[in-house]
Amino acid sequence: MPDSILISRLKDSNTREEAFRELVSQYKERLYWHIRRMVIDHDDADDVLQNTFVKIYRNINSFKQESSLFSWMYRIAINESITFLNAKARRKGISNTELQENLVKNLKADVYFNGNEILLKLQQAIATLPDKQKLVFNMKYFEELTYEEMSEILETSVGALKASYHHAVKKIEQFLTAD
Amino acid sequence: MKYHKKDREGDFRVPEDYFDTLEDRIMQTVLREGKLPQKDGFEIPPDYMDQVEGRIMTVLETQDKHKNTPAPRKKTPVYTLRDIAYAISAAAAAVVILTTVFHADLSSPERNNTNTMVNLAPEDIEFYMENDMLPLYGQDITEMLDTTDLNAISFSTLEDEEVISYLEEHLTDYSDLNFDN
Repeated sequence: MPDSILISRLKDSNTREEAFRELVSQYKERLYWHIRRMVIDHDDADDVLQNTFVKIYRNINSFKQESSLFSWMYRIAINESITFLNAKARRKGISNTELQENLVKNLKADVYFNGNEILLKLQQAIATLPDKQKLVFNMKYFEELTYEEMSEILETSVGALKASYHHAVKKIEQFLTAD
Repeated sequence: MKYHKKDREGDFRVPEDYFDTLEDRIMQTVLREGKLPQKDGFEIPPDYMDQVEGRIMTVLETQDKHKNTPAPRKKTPVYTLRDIAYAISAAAAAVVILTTVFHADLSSPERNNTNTMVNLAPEDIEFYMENDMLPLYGQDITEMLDTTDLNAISFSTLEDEEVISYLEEHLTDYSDLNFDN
């Protein structure tokens, strides 16, 4: 279903709920995996995913359609994830960097992480990246978004995104081959 | 190898933007077959994706039910951004005054060392502040104020240049960015 029709149905109180179910069904997996890679833990990802969709539902009337629906939802997911991580770090009284380290450390015992040593090391490497490079790497490498899609979501030029991705890959490769 | 015009404009055609994206796609393939693992190792509980829609709808219904329950109305205060700035400035001034007083007090010879405040050195206070333990983030403001309060905040007295200048000076952390439409 084209975005324009879905948006019209979402804004119409008579069709809103049905359209919203379709929206969730259509985008839940993509948004979940993006959030999961940011917050690492499944239960946290579930909370953030729910908050993201609740925000989408509550704010659909203020969506100005200056970007695609997908980009708008992605931005909400990114914002919710960042807010969640900041709040979690603050609650624990630690920095965001320390929080990232802890989250990756906990993966060893995580029943929803089926990773060997290499995958664990990959997560450690990703955790060392600056926020933006981390986002760009996950979006490009795992989620296979195009640079144009990423450019619209992150409001950054394609050239800058390519540079970020290149730096991220180099750093991860160096981290993985360091030992 | 040189390309001749007839090689490029023969009967064969390629999808639009094919060559523009070719480099990226090859790089992606090379990377995937190269040093980096192809997956991330994350898994989800069985049936999670089948149940998530139902749970989101339940959250919305619960919130709506709660919202529709009449509650005593509180008077909504109207804050301008300048009010908030004044409040922050006042708080900062208070901390500076307290720090100075403590510092002067601690330096005085007649100070009784057994007093508990002796243990609170100005450096400790500064460390406390500098290490984000006493911050006032935008998110804290949004957590303290509800949507009605935030809508009531007037930004009309701020010029665009002032806002841009402030952001250029203070926005150093990417995580402080809030994406809009």
